[in-house]
Amino acid sequence: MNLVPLLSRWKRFLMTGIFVIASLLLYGLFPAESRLNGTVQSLVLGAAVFFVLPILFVRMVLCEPFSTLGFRGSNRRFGVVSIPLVVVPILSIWYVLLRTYPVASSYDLPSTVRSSFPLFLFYEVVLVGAIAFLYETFFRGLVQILWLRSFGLWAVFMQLALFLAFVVSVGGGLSWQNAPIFLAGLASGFVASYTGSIPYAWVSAWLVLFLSDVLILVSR
Amino acid sequence: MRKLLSISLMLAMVAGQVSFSGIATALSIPSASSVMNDVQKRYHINTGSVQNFGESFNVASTKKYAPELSISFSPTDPKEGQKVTAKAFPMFFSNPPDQLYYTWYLKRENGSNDVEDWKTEAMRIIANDGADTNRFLPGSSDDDGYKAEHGGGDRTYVDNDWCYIRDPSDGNFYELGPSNSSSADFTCGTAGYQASCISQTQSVASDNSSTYPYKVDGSPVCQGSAPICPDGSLVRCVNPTVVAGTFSLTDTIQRRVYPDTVDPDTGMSTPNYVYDPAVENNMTCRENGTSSDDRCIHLFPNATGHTTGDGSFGADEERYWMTNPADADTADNGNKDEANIVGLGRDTFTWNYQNGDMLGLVVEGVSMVPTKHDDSTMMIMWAFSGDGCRVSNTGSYNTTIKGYSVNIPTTGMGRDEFDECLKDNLVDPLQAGQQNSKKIELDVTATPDNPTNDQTGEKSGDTVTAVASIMNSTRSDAEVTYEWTVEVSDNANMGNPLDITDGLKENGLLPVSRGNGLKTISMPLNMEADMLGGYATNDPLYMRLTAIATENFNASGDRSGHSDVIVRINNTDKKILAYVSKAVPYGSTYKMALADGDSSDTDSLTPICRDYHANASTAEDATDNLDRIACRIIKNEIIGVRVDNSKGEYKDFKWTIDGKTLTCNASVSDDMDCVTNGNEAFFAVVGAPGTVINVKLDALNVETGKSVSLTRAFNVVEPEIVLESADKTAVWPRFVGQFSDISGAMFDEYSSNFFEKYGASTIRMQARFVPSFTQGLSTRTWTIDGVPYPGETVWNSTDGDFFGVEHATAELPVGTVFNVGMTATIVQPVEKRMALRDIWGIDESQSAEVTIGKTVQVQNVADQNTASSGVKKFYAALSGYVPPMLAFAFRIILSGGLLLFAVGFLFSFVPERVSEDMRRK
Repeated sequence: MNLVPLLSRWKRFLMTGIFVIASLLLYGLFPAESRLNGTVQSLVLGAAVFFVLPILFVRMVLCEPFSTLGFRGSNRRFGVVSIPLVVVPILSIWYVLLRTYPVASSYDLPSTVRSSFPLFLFYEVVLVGAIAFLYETFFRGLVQILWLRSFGLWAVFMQLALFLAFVVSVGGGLSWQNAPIFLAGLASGFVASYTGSIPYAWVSAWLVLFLSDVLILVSR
Repeated sequence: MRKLLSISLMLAMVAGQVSFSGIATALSIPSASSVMNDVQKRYHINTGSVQNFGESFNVASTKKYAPELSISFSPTDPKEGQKVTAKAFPMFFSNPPDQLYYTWYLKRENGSNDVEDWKTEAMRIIANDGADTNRFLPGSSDDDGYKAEHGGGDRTYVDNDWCYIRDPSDGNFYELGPSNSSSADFTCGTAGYQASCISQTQSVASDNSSTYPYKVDGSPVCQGSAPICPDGSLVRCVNPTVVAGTFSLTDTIQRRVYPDTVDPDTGMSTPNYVYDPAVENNMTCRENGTSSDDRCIHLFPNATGHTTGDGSFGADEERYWMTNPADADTADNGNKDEANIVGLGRDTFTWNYQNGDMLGLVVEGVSMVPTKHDDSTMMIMWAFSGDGCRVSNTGSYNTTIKGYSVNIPTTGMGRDEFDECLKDNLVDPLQAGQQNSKKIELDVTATPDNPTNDQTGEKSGDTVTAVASIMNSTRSDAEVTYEWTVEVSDNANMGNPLDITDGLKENGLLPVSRGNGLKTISMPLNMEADMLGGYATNDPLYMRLTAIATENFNASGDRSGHSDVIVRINNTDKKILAYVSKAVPYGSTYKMALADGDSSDTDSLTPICRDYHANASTAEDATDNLDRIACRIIKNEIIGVRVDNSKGEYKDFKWTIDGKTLTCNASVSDDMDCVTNGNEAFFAVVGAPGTVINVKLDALNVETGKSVSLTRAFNVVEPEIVLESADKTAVWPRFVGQFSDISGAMFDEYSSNFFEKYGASTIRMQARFVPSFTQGLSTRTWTIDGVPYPGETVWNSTDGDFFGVEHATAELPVGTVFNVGMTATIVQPVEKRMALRDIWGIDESQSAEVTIGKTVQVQNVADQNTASSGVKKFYAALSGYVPPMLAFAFRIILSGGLLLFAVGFLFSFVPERVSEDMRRK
């Protein structure tokens, strides 16, 4: 059997796939510098792996525009409507989980964030927003929109599975602490699938994360 | 006829004498002296004694006890504004003290000079007793008058009052009253005639004829209203110009004298009469001062226009004395207000003292001296707070008492004269407490009893403390000035003493020698030879510590006292040296010897606790210096103590340990110094850690014959290990901060448990044992990070040999920590344990091994030079931090670049898929 045509046919897919897997492995296996703060290192590495490398891959390897990552507007009309249509059900799931399971006691929200509204706003807007942006760029942009776009709606679940595997292996396992980010990934996946736009997905992910924290605070 | 009879009688008498002379001695004429001599002989009366009695009896009248007064003050040293209470103690009054009249008077320094004002101020304080006059209502509705009787409150029913004053110079008692020579007025009818007593005398002429002329013989006295002459002579109004000696009364009525007076001009003769016939029996008289009110006075202060003690106390007097018109007893002391003014029973006086206040008191009462009057009266007198009053304006009068004319001295002194006298009877409250003693009684003590002076400069001499105590101080210690002097001599009598006070101060051994409240001085006996002068080589030395204490009162004077104490000092450079010992075999047992070499060669032995650092700058140096004072030893050690006597300076050694005799004999050691010479001994350390053992040696100086005492203290401690760096350039203790001592000097402090090094520096740690001699008793095990480290190194240095480890490390990240530890087992050699058992009875189970250990951490630190402050510090921090971040970023870039390159390169060999449309084309 001649592999070349097969590879040629699936070249883009394979290249992107190999790149995605290699990037995740790079992040997980990258050695820490003992003299540096671990949080700083994770932020820098995350920015490099989840934002810089996909952009460089798209531009330098694929020679495609940024829009192929999803950095564009919605390709559907009324794309913004999809945000609440997805966020609300997802939050409902979170609400049910809050009422059903002892989520609040296991979910750690920093005390300064809980006690100070300005710090809460800073935390939610800047930190959560920034982290969400990195994940949206890589998992929804690179993985779902660019790599798995031919799988249609299944791409949502596939990227979520990949995201789940990554968080479990690198983020310390499954816990209620990680539940909101999974739900955010699910919601933003649907939005990204519908709109094909990272900004919309980012907003939906951020809303899910923000309102999840709010529900946690309210439930305590 | 008459002549014949008398001649016959005379003849008979002569015949009788002649007739008796042949039979007995002729009788002498009777005489009083002969009678008295007979009485003396009969009753064995000694003439001298009688004379003595008579002489005393002659002056007994001036030796009687007149009333006296003393006053005490509390406090004896009053301060400005402080309440002071004066308490009066009257004596030799027959009244009880509560019936006497106490008239206090208070003189203020800048106040009035009038005694009456002084009395008013004092008695006002008593009567008012601090009552608020603003609350008083006007008028007087109370019944608070008091009638003061002369002589005290208990003389209500006595009619006659005779007031007296005693002159302290001659002791005579003078009755108060007018100073007239006569106390009676006689009225003669004719002017120029005066009342006289005339008596008849006998005058014998040469022819033995007698005449009986008259003469004036004294003056009559007035008894009631009738003049009488004491000896029964005639009372006549006599013409003084006629009576010039004796005169005859020739006419029948015996009043005319001759010759008559003849007028030369007229030739008329006038008869002269001795006494006036017209008033011959009509002379009258009257005695002056028959009422006691005219004689006695009170010394009470009076309100203006009023008399105190008259029984009337109206509104004016209430206002003047600031008493409550509505309260009969304003002072609430049981006396009516006027009674308080007269001072009835007021033997205490309390006021707020002001600087310069002077106080006086005069007490009126009945004395124990009887008057000469024919009644039951005793002399009413005053007692003064000072030396009393000199009597002035004296006189006397005669009065007939029991038929005899009695002369009574009088004085015309009135209130004015008494007030002047009261000024001289003021008392200063400040000096009242010191009336009995002008000198401070001081006592000085010193400890310890037999201290040792260190001349070697090592500053290990004993500290002498001297304390001065005042027995009769009236001031606090802070108000007493103490001045100390220190002298030394070579004999206990302090002959030729050398004053070293200034030398002690110059050398910092005595901070101050004079100051207020300096009742205690302490000085370490580190006196070197140059300070002691010619006494530097004397042993023992005698030191006299003298204290002079001075109390200052005012410009008029002060009180002082001094005392001293002599301390015997051991002045020797000899010291008790301590050594570790070894057990040498002796048959089946062991005996002791000083360790380190041949015990007979003491020069080769190294004593323990001997290091001294003159300028200790580290904790180790300071600890070494401390060892010289209290040598650290461990339990179950056997210590040898010895004093150098190579020159035979001392003999008769006696060792004691904690007061008990320490014997060194052949059962303990074979050393000559132990068995024979006595300047060596051994003792086993049996006390628990923390125990202090005192070893003392008493010996006799062969040359001077004087004894010497040396002491050495030993401190039983737990053995311990200190791990320290053997190469501080490679491994150094961590700097933990700085501390300052009381002088403000800053010292760096380093950790004893944490060390630092750079990168791949070799760890060189050594162990230092405390006490150092336990190193030789130890078995050691080293560990690094818990793993036994087999290679032990021995470093030789001038301070001795040290065991340690040398561990090379690889280049490890900053923050890597190495745990270096050592465990040591310390146990005495078997032979010494056997010696402990055999000589001191310490069972071997009690001398078992002791295990000690120590672990330290050595951490890799970053090799960076950081600026200390400012912008440089920022850049220094930045430059210190950037390399790791750059390396990290560089790794990311490389990794990412490699990833991109690998993927791109790998699939660059895969052709692009061409679409069917493109292929058809």
